[in-house]
Amino acid sequence: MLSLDKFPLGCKGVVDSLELSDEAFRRVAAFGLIPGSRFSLSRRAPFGGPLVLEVGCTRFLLRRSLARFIQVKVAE
Amino acid sequence: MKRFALIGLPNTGKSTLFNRLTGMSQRVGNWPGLTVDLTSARVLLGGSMVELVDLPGVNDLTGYTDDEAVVRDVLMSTAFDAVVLVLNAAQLDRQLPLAMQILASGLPAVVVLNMADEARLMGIKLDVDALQHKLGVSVALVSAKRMEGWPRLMDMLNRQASGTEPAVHAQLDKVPETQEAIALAHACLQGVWSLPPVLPVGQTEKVDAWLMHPWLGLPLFFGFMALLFNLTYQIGTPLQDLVGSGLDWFKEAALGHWLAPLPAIVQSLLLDGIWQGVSTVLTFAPILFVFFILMAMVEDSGYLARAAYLTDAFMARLGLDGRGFVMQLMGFGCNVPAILGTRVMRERKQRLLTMLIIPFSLCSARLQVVVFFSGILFRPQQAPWVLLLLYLLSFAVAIFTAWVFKHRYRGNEAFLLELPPYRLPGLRHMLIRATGEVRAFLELASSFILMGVVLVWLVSHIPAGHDKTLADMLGSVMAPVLDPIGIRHELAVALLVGFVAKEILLGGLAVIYGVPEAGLGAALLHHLDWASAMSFLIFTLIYVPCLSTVAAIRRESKSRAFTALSVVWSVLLAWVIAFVFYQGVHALR
Ligand SMILES: Nc1nc2c(ncn2[C@@H]2O[C@H](COP(=O)(O)OP(=O)(O)O)[C@@H](O)[C@H]2O)c(=O)[nH]1
Ligand SMILES: [Mg+2]
Repeated sequence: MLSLDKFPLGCKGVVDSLELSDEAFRRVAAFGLIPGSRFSLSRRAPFGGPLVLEVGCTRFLLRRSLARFIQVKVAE
Repeated sequence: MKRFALIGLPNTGKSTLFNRLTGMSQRVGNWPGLTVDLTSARVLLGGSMVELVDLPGVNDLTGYTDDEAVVRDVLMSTAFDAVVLVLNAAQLDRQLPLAMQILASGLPAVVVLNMADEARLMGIKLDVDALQHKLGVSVALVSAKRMEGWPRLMDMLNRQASGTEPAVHAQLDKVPETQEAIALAHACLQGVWSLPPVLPVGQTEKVDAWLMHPWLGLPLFFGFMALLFNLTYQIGTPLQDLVGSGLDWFKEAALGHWLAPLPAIVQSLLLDGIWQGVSTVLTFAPILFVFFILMAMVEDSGYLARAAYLTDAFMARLGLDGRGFVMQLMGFGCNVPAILGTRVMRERKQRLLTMLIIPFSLCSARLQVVVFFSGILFRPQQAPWVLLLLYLLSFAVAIFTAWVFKHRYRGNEAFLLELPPYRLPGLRHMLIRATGEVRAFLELASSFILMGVVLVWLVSHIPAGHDKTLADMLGSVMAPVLDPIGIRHELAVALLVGFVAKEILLGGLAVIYGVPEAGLGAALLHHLDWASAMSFLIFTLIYVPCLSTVAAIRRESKSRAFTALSVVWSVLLAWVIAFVFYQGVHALR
């Protein structure tokens, strides 16, 4: 298990847990990132910029400062 | 009259659907107590007049983003006959929870599954009738952009509008929390909606390989911005000139004659005061129109989200989000549309912070003043470097302002943004939107700017003894603040004129020194020493860009206090920097 900001680029994973406030959880969940959901990490902006994640048909930006609090597993 | 609300997540095509249903009849307007404008229009559905309201996009009815609060406020304070839920058919996994919340609120609802074309391309399996059965409300699968699925949609809306039930308020206490809504939605989607095991690789990924490239992305971004910027002015400036000369012609050919019988002072008030104000406002219209068309293209195509991706690392440090950067850049053309464009940022604090820094972008009107001054104060080889320095100064001042205010207008760290597939923007949609924006701005700005122009006219025409006017007095009264920065007293009026619009500043200076504009350079050199002229220039660059910008800030922030803060801050900063410069030069001499 590792935090999302350390997740390898181009891999698929499964969300394990989100250590977020209610409000942040709502925002993240609105993009489909909830415990058990599958995602892939397709890009990482240079200079510590945001990540690009894909959940289902949805692609979105997520800042690394938030990704730190999301625990994930690499999916086989 | 009945009232319907369009509700859905951001980017699901609510506004596109709204435009399809209502056309040009829409109005952008104030809602009592709200900090954002809502668009509404009347349409005939099922034999009755229905007022359709386009609400801001929300993810979750129980959330606390600004837009979520707005939608909750509207749903609680206003009774609706129906909610038209707009969902992206390709993303029901994350969008249906909102539908669950709306249904639980007791509002009568119909569901529009939009983007049928994209869902089909993705290979999504969807059983509309089964979903309708499970949800217990009517569902229509459409593509708002291509007008697919229209008969069923119109039939559904007409039926909803011909009902006889009274309108109801939402019962927000019945709305399930996020997790529960998600669980309900997933249960509902079982066997009704599914993604293919492997999603097809589309054009978007191929384009993004370039546009979001780790090191090509940024140069391409700046290239696009330069192009956008050039287009705005290549198309906008000739139109602006055309409107300007049209208005001048009207003033000379018609207005002057009609007003000739009136006393000179009244003529002057009407021509130099009110007509001047009207022309200032109207000449903005073409630039605004072109800007909104181009911005709509950047936003609707999906590129704005890529720009945010590329610039977010830098902007996040300033407490801003990446989209603010695009507006900041556009501000170098004209601050007014850039301020209005901050509306893409949905968080109020972020929007305010961005609005606070945009006025420091050295716009084209101020550029004229800079070019003129550096032409007379410096040798031709030096002038370009001075210009560059002043541009850097404007960036530095903007960054400093962001740094000072970033804690006060702290945005939420939980910043997520959809990266939609690239989409071809609809021409009709863009035209309708740009027309609406320009009209709404003119309505507000005209009264505001008129007031300002008339005020300046009064100050420079009301006599104050010894054949002097209030304006002359102003110079003496302001002496304690003007002297330390080396600005001569007679220039107080010029600063007042510059407050209205920088376009008329040079003309104002010519009037002050009683020379034609062609002779202004020589006159300035005669009356001002170098340090004092530079100090005037620096002050001019940093203080309030123009009344139209102030009007735009007032309109977008809907707060007098914030507008005042923006004005006071920029004047203060201008004074401090001019002070440091002027006193510094003196100390060195
Ligand atoms: N492919 C496709 N794109 C659409 C459709 N409806 C809207 N769009 C596009 O989706 C984007 C967002 O639309 P908009 O109406 O602004 O969404 P809103 O944020 O919900 O108001 C725009 O680029 C539209 O052109 C559709 O049915 N199919
Ligand atoms: Mg919209």
